[in-house]
Amino acid sequence: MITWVFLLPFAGALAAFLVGRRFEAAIGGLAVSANLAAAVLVAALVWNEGVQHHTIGGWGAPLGIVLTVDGLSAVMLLLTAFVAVGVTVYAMVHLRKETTAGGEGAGEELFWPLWLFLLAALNGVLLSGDIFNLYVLLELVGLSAIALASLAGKPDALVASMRYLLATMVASMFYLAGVALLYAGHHSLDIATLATTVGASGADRVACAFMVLGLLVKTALFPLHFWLPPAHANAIAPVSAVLSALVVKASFFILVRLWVSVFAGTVTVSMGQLLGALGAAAILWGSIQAMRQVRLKLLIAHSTVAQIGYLFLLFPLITVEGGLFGAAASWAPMAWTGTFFQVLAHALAKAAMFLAAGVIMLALGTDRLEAMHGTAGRLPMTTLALGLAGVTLIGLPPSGGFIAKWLLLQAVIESGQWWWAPVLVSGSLLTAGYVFLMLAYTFQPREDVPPLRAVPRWLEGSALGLALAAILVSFQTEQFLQLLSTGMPFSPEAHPQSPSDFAAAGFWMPLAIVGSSLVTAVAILFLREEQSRLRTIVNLGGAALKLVLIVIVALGVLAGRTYEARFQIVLGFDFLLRIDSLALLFTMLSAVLWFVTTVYAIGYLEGAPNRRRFFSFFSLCVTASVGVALAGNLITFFIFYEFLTLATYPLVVHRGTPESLRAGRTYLSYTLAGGIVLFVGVVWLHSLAGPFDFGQTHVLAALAAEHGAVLTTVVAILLLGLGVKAAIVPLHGWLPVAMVAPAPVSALLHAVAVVKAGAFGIVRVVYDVFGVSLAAQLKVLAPLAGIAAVTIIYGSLRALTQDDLKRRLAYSTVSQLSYIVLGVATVGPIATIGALMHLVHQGVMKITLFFCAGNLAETLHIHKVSEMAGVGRRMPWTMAAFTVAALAMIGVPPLAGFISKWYLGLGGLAAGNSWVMAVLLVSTVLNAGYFLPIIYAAWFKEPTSAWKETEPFLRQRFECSWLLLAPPLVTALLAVAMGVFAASPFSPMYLARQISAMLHAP
Amino acid sequence: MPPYLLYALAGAALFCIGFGGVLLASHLLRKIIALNICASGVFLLLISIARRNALDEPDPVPHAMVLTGLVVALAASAFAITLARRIHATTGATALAGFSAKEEEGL
Repeated sequence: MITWVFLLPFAGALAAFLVGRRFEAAIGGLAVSANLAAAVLVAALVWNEGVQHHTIGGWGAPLGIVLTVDGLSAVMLLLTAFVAVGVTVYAMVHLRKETTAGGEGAGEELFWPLWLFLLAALNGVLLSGDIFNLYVLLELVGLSAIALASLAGKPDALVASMRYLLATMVASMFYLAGVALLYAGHHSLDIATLATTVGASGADRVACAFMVLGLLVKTALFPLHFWLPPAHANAIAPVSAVLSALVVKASFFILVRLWVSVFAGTVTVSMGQLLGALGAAAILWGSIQAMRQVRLKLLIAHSTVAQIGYLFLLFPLITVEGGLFGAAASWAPMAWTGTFFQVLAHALAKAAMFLAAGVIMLALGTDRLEAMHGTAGRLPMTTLALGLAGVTLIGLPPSGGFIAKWLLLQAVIESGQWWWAPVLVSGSLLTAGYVFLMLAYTFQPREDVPPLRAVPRWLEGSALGLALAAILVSFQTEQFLQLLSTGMPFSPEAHPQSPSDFAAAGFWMPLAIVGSSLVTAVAILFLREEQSRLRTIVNLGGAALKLVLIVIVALGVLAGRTYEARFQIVLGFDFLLRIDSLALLFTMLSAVLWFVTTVYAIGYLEGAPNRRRFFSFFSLCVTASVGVALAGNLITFFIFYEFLTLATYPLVVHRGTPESLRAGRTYLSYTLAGGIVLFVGVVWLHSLAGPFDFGQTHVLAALAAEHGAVLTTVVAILLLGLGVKAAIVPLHGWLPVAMVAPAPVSALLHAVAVVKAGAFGIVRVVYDVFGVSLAAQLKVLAPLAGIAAVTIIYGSLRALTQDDLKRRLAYSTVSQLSYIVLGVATVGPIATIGALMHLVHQGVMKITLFFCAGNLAETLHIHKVSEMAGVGRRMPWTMAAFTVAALAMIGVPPLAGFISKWYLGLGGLAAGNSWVMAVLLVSTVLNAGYFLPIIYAAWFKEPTSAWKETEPFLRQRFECSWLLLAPPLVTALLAVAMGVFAASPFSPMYLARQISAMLHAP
Repeated sequence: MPPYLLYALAGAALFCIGFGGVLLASHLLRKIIALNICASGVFLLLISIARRNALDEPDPVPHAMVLTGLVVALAASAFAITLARRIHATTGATALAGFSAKEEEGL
């Protein structure tokens, strides 16, 4: 049964060779599909019955060859088969005579036999249980791969293949020498037999060294990777995909097999650490080299070198003092599954990237990065494939790469080998560096780009399909892990599925609330650019639906119902969406402001290009924001937090100008760095305490006695990671820079989505993860309050000096956000009420101000405060809204800002920190200092020069489009209402009071 | 010194010579020949292993391994020589060194 995965492609190869040009593609497709079916059957067999064995010819060990399929082999077989299908679909279309671009070389008729031989050999490697059989199969893999690589025919490809050939043959010689030494010592070639007899004798050590060395060359581990980038980059696209995705993994697979079975008694801790160190160097070197490349395919090839480095972190984690199966028992399964999940994710993503690069090569005639300007608009499917694949490589949620990095990070922390954690962190950041370098080109439109040739849909589809698979694989984590664990040399822990009650309405509501904007985002993607009316309907419909759902849920929560949706992701950690009062507060804010901003954005972007892309990512942004609000534990919070970063980047760089791309780069550097720091904190916390949800503060309280110092460090790390998005000094640098984005983006980012996510995160961490008493005990609240105070004053001072209106508002946001942080850091229920209220009030007030700024920019091209003299007469309603919001921010009673500042000040006094009141007073004075002059100038001064009107004033009924006017008026009214009606049962204050009482309950 | 040990040492020496040749030689044909010498070294090592002790018949398994290895080396050498000929035909070069810098810069 299991031999079919080898025989089917092998027979196909022979048939394809004999049949010739006309039918070989069909035979290729047939063989690959049959292979997929066989792989699925084998995997099912392993799942149901455990490890499978097959002796060839009935002759068993020690002379015969035994084929073994355990869980790892099964997963790799599935991976190989799936990638093979994707690549074959691509190749079938690519190699048809009429679509082959000039310069890709002749020799396509040899592609199919060679590719099928390669597939057969790859499968054989996964099955074989005999070291000499593995040598033969390795040679078959190598020779077919090199022949395929040289098919391109260009001199670069030929030279690269030659280098590859020499390297791989020398490596094989080393491997064979090792086999010879092993046979000399133990008279068997069977892996299972050798596992019992090989020890630490001289010959065994030398054999181990030789075989490992040979396999390291074939796996292209730094510094033996020199042959890989040119070979993978110069081959034709389907071949590059297979080389990077599968061929290098074959030798890695053999290395791991030998390490844990044959050489389990030979390997030492230092050998493991050496391999880990080389892996770390590979990550560093490969990523830096990738960032220096000017050709897309070379960038992707160097990325392979870097990503292979991650795989080698397995060895130091499983090879420890007590031997392979002794003391390493607790984290070794995690390292094992994490590494092979990385293999899975990387293979899918890298194949997708190379196929996408092939599409770009076909469409543009070149793969130079500079030619890729504007491909986001011209080749959207392919750019999406590149983007999704990049997300997996960086390790951002929700992708297979994220699960892999999470498992690896947890294993690193639990093993105590903390020095690999910075490697993982910097690896993610460096990968983000070259991925976004590549993507930035696609967003930038340019005039003189090469004309686009038509590319068949199947080509783009196969690239996108593989990239989607890399993402989707993260949703089936537990099944893959179970399969990987079958026959694994380490004993895994069992994690029973937590019960999910699918029937209850309480389960579907949170999903529906998050999903309403996700569905909107996807729907908009499928509309054409011109269908603006339909798009508006979808947009507003989704926003309205979300509002309705939230009102229903709010009534339910008031009546005492609970809403919870829970899925297990991996290792007993759940994806949890739960609606408690705090979530309700933030969600209501998000939903109302989303609706208003959507109306505004429709008006603002009238006639602008790329609106489909804008609104699609806009909706994704809201999905992420609501997900952050409804997250029920740290992991779910983190997933949506990072998703928010990803969703907002295209909005920041929407205009495609050099400034916006620079701003996007700054934005990403800050937020991704903060995100990864947060990730380290989250994983560390959970490795200490196990999985727990928000509100279960007793879990950490129990640990406080012995792990006090560690907990303090973890809290500091978490706050550092959250502080970037919460714009706490000195991590606030991205916020003023991100102002180049269109006004609706600045409004949303600065009122609702990104900054509030950071502040909300701090609220959750302090109250729902650690609890107020523990946080006070760990002595983090006082420094946090201090930093918040510094931020408040600093932001206000910088705002005074800014002439650009949006930058002034940005610094004002920096300052105002820290009011919330200050409230959180001050112990006592009153301060908490103030913080929570300010979360809502600041959002409404600031969004009004940004709407007004956008109106001024859009209608009169006013960007600076100095240009605003006398504008109150020209645009009275806009300036009225601005005035109301500015006064509210200063804290004039009875407007909203006054109420929240009042409570914050009182809270400070109640906690015995009278300096809080002083800080608030100083800040209020400074607020007045940077807002009042604007208001005075706008209403009472004469205009200094004529404004550039977008449309002549007399033509319009209102001062500007009503779509731009209504939102700020609505939010300004809200700012008034929230202050005046603060005591009523529907105000934020009422909800904040309830929440605060709950959070401070003993 | 027993004969098989002599063969084993000779095999090891050939292996080292061949390996050095692959690394150090510049002409492609020399590299390929060095590769074959390296392979011969390993095969000699295998043959010397075939001996179990002074009185027994040789162990056939290493002989089988050598034969397989010979076939693989033959195929690989044939491929390598073809590749080298093609490189010479298209570029006129007989060594690899001239290309490495240009490839990295993306020409």
